[in-house]
Amino acid sequence: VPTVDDIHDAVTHIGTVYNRYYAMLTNATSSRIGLPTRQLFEPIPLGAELAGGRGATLRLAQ
Amino acid sequence: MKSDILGMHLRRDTWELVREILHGNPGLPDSYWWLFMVQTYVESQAAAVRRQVYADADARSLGRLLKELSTTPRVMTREHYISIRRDPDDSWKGRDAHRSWNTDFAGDCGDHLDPAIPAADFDDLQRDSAKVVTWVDRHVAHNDRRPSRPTRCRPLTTFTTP
Repeated sequence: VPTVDDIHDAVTHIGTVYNRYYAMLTNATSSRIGLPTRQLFEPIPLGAELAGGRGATLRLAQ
Repeated sequence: MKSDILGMHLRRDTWELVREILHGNPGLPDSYWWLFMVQTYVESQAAAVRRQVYADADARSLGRLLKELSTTPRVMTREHYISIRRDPDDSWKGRDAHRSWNTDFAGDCGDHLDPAIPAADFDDLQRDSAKVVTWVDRHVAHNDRRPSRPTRCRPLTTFTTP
């Protein structure tokens, strides 16, 4: 049974491999997936659903 | 493929943010919401991992890309790799492109992608994702007879679930 950490390890692995081949095939380094992710996600449109979801979670937690 | 992989990282980023919020608020009440949140997160992330590792012919996935590159390595040549990086005003970029090609992709082949490189990446991806993929196959996509314990979730232990 996988743990959350197992899943996160797999996500990191996929992102790392993707970055390498994305760079090989396109040279479009500005659109790479970044690890760590938070700052590098800023240019990506998140969409209203996600923004709403985060806000709702925050309100619930507080 | 890109949006799916970006989505994985975005969900993880959100998960980590929520985890911080929960750790900062230890007095939150018991609720089915927590179990719902964990199960939804785990299943969606694990299914996304499986999608990218799955490499059958009809798949649009990282696994499929690696498999195709390992069987058709001549589609990626040194010449093309250098040509999309060369800058007539900056000779350093050309030299750096040669260096990175030799380091990352040439392997034993030199002028085209060494098929052993994507093949090894594919095998590593399969091996490191095997536990997650097997769990999805048996307990998310299907309902296998073999027993499975609930997914453990170390980070979210500041509250109890019903």
